[in-house]
Amino acid sequence: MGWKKVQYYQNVIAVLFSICLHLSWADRTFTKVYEPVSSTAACFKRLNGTHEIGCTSSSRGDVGVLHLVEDEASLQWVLKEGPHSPYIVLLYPEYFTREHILQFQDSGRVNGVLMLKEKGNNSTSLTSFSTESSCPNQGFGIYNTSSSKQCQKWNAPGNHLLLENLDFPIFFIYNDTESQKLLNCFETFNRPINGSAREWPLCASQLRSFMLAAINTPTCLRRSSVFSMNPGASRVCDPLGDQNIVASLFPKNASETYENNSVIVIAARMDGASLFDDINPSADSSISGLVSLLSIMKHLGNVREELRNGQTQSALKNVYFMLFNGEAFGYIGSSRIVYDMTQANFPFNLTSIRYFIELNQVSASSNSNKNATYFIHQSELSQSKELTDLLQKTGLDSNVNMSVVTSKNEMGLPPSSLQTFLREKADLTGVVITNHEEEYRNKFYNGIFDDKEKIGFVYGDKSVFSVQQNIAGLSAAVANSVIELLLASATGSSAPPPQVSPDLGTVDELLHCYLESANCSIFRELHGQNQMTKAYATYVGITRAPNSMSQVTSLVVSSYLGSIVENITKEDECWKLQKDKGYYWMNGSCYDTILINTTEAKSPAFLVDNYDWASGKYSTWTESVWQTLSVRIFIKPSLLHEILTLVSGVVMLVVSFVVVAKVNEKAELIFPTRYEGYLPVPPD
Amino acid sequence: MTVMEFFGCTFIAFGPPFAMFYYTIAHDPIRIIILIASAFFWLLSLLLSSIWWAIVTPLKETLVFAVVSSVIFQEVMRFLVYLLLTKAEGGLKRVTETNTSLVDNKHVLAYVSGLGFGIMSGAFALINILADSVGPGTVGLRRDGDSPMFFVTSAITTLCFILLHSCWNVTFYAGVDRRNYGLIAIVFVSHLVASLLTLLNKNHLYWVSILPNYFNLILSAWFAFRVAGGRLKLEDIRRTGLPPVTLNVAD
Repeated sequence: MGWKKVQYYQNVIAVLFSICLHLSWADRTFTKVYEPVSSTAACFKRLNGTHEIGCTSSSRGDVGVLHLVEDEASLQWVLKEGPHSPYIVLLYPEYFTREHILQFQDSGRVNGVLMLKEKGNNSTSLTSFSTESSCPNQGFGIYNTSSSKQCQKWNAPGNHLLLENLDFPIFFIYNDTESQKLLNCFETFNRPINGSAREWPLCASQLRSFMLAAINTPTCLRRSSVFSMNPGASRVCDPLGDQNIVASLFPKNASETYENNSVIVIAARMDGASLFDDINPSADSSISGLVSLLSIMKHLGNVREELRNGQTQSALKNVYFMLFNGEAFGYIGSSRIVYDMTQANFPFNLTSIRYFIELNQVSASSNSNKNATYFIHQSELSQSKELTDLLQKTGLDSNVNMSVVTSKNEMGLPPSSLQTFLREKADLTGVVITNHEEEYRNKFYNGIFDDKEKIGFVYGDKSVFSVQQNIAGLSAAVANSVIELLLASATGSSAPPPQVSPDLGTVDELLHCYLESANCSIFRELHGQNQMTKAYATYVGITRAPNSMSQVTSLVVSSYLGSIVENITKEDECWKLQKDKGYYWMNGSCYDTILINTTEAKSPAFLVDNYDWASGKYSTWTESVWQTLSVRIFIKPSLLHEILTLVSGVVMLVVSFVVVAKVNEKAELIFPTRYEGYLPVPPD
Repeated sequence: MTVMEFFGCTFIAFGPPFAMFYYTIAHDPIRIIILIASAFFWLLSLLLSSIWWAIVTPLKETLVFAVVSSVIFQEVMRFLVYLLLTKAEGGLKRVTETNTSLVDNKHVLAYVSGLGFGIMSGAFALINILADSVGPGTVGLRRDGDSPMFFVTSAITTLCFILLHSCWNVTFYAGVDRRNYGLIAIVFVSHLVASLLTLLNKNHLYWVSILPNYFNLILSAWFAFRVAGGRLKLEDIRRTGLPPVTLNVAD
């Protein structure tokens, strides 16, 4: 996300500078001195109403001697024994624990941390890695501080570092050749020989990730607004946020209002989080639920006409799909939609919701000859046997087990968007479908390693127990339940209700798109151009910069729920009607996307006048602005060498002043004046 | 390069020239003008060298070619400065009525413009390096013979060239003046040798180029000293009282 931080004038200067550099690139001296380390992802600063979290360097960058922490001895070396502090610690993920980071911080001998990828290609060596809190989104849910359920260890491996204020810069090096550079430098210059330290010069590193914002959100917002002579120039932080996607299965007339209990909501979250900028695969954390929801959407979109004809008598009028953004940071997206509902800025309000079905972490791969089991969580106040029975029944048809978590469960409702809705309306009938009964099955929740390997995704693998199979099964089960709900009270219908069957192809392709390469066939066709070959970042980002992830998702939703306008075949005609009718040209056709809307996913805290920042009611997260994120390595000379150089320079200066003064004084004697001019002797 | 190294190297390279400037030039505006003028001519030679380098594409990679042609350009410019100063002598004489040493002793003129030549070449040689390497590190990361002494040796070489230019200028002007082409040849050869020796730096043989160059400096200084009519009679110099003089170089 670094690109959006750089202020424009600096861009211009940088361009001019790089042009100059290119003209004289030949062999600049700094290339003899500095080796930039690329492919890095920085830990950066976020702020909430009362605190700041994350990392920052000093404005000129923090310097230290590189040291690889790989065992207890090298840990002690950095903390106590090594004579060359401050250090920049180089470590593998298994050493990136809360305990070690806090030890580094307390020792005062560490100026920064560089985390490398797991050793070799063996990604299974790491059994857990989550920098999230062990009870994610604590305080934003339905349980208040007096309840023991407010902080249940749902995310047991979570070490909370994401929410810690760390006083040194941290970078993740995700490229093997770049990691090798660092390791080589350490081996060549720094690794102690037989337990004794090497002599200067040593290999050192400079980490720059200076964050402009500090203290907390109200402070940084005030600072941002005070100096704004030219808009945006003095911005030091931006609210987190992006857009939610809200789409309905059937059209709604502007005049029509929904009666109480007449809408089904199917929801999932889009975003993930991690300690490091731009690396947040969130394979299980959010992509699994998102893909499942998209698959349900496609199923229902395909049978829309039958449903439309069959449900005229039904009490249930419509199905709304909601994709929330910013959920990882205090339920930004869902709290905003609930806020909009209470402000009557939404097509319906909370009382219109009959059922709320949320798909949370739903990746499941089963190795044994058993169907995957999904768990249905409910809050104590809003149980619905009717809904859970139906889900269990349709689940069996699609080869997934649905297990209802008992209502007396001590864990309560897991962190989910449903909590935001229940906060406003405690008796809302809602279920959260997950792959875990108690603590998360996902040991990499909201972390940089929550990737496709961890959920066992292999593109094209359509075997019976693959993750694709299970997600497709779940999606079909939910879709069939919704179909039954819509048609349940329909009477006199002769046609048998439509049934959908698991759509493995779609799930497989969507997972590939979101986890492996955004340049997949679906995204490429929808965008009409090639995309980057890695997956989109799932981090919600800041409200000011649109997020590729939610943009492409809204296109996918449009292609599943939008309808092709047959009589428009030309691209420009379609675009002309974009404003009036919501037409959108993609994939060679003109789509009517009137059913698909996006709403702003910005926390209500930034809208409410005189919001009490310390109240903790809404998410108050902002992200600091930064200018440079960089890592470079170099040789650091000994202090003695530096002093000697300076002293010899000073001595040289003094000596030459004395000598020249003396010589100049005696110049008459050394160079006896003889007239040797070119002109005639001047008259005296 | 660290801040301490930066100042150390700057003082090493520019300390002696600064002292020379302070005592022998700074007091006389005309000398400053001449210094700047000759510095400008050195810049012209750099411009011509780079144009020439850019035009003759096939030899771009051959550093020797660039060095040799640059030496030729510099010597041509040195000659042009001489011509200019000769032409300007009448005018100079008129404006320096109070202080006649400048036009009376033309070696002073040669020395001043030589120092201007040297300072500008030194500035270009070293400031690129100094400015380019601000930060906490020093040379040596690549381990292929790059020495941590890189900056210091660069500074020492730069100093050598600044002083060499002053000496060459005195010898060169005397040579042209007396139609003694031998002196001009000595300057040219000395300059060529000094510049070509620096090519050894490419192979990190810093001291192999610095030591001969300082020997070269001693030789050139001796030549300059001789042609300027210098004499070293220590007992004269040790005597405290100066003989009555009519002209005083140091004001």
